[in-house]
Amino acid sequence: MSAFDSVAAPDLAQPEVAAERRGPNLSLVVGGVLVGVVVAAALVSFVWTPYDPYFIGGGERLAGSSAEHWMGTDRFGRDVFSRLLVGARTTLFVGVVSVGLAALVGTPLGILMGMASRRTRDVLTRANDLLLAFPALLLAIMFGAVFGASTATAMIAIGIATIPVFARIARGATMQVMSTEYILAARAAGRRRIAVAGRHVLPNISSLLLVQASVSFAIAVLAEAALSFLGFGTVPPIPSWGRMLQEAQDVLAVAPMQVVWPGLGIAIAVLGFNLLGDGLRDRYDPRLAGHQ
Amino acid sequence: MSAAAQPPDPSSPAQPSGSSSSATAVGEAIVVRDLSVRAGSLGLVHDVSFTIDKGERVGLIGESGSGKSLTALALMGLLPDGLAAAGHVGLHGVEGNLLDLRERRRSVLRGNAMSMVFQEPMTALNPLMKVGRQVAEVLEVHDTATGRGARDRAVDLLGQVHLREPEQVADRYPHQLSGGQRQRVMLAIALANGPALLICDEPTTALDVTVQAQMLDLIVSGVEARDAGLLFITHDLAVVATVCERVLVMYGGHIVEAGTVGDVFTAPRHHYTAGLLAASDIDRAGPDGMLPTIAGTVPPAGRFPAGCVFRTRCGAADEACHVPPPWVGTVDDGMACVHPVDDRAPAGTGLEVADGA
Repeated sequence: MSAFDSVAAPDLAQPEVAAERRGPNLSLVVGGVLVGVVVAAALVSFVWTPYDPYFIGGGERLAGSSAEHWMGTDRFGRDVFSRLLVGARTTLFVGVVSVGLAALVGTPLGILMGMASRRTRDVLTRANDLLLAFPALLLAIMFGAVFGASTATAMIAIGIATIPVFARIARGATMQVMSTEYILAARAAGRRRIAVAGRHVLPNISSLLLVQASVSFAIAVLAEAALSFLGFGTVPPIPSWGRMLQEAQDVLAVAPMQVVWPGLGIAIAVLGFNLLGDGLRDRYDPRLAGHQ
Repeated sequence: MSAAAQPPDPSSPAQPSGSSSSATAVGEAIVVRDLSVRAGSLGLVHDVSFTIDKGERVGLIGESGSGKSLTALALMGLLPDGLAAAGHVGLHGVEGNLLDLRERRRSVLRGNAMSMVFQEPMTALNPLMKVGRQVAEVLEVHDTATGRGARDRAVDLLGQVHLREPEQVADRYPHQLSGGQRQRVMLAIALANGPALLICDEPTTALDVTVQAQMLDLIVSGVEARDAGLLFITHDLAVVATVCERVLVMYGGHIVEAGTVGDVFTAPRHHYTAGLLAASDIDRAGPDGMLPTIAGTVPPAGRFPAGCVFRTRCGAADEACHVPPPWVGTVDDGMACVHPVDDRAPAGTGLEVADGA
């Protein structure tokens, strides 16, 4: 074997080079920072806010920015900065729960579709397309009308509407993985289908799902804001950026900055998660690997 | 398996359904009779019959598209969606027909009683699992070893396929290994549970020549050590001559010739075999240095001619070839051609070559 061993030796010395990932890209960094700002705001709100975000009538109403109230006060005299910090919690909570629900239900469905026989797959895929075509906001408004407006209703509705998105992504990725030789090899080694799904398919499609989660998160944040704005989401007095935007709309002529602050929060969160998704995709999506 | 050899059925190119003449006391690793693979109404593999004894190494050769890999996948029970196999496959130590077994029972046999090495080592390992884990997994799936024992056994197996520093290699991911190293890992996985039959589907095609020779040695020694049967699929005749004792020549989903490597390679009877040999014989190169080729190309599945599948590319074809040629000889040593090369009678059978059909 000595002849071959000398051939093999240089290969064994290479792994460190091969294992090295590409350096961070701009969207990943910027997205990460923006998301970090929102997460930090939510975390800080648990231990500290400048004022009680629910305290009404403490000071001047609709005040502009000042040393006491950095972002002024709303029409009830509540500190806007405090409410913005607490509102970040609502935003992230809704995002985590709705995307989590969608991923937990949608991913197994998608893997099932990807591994099923052609006929079963076709039927399930068409059914999924049907759900995909149903507008998320309409579903959420229906839920709000039936079960009453609340943060929970909003996030469940957003989650349900996002399930087919995950199912579709998981289905496509699973079909791609199922056509690879290592799946055939795993089956040739005696692996059952359920084990193939858990041990071989899921890990290999998880990077795609992560990217999708980030993008869906941005959409969920926007949907929650829109629902709260329309009165189908978070109910007062709990601070929500969409709700704050709606309340500020009435006083737009008097205190225009009241619209800017929650709007800025929504923009930062949505942009952050979208950029993070793009950055993750550039880094992990195997289909883009050759284009970098 | 019945002991009586039946006469060839003149109405079809099917090989005899009876026993092979070379069945020995050692026992057969696998007995395949009249195996067919269909995609709906389209036949892709037709009435393939062969026997591989334990410890015997058999080559399956033919051009791309002749049905070699489909035959292997049918034996493994890994045919793609929409393809169905029919016929009889008997495996050493397993009662009845493999093709009748439920998927659950078959998955217990795969990687255990029969295993397979694939062509492309770069993609045949899960990129996200350490190779040691992937070897250990095949042991754990079949309850051969568990936990720490499986890990130790995996390292041992990696050492058996001559990977240097198997302990370290076990902790590497596939992308950290070369093609040759990955193919050895695949071989370690395939041999882990001591299969009765090992199928290798062009295992060295993707490797460079120096690595190829080492890989072939490992396959032969691995199979010999376990007294396993080997079905070696390739289109490289030199590789077959190195590795195998007997050879099956496949074209258009039919086995057109079978025999020992020595007989088939020195005195081919079927014109397809003769064409393959001529195309790889450097002494036959013309003055321009070009090797002779088989005229035409392999037709797509379903476009093979009626009668002898090779007649559209065969120089000796005539009216008689419009009828499917009967199989002449035994399962292990015979051919299906009405105008055999050199009129050589099938070796060791005493049968006359059937003239016409």
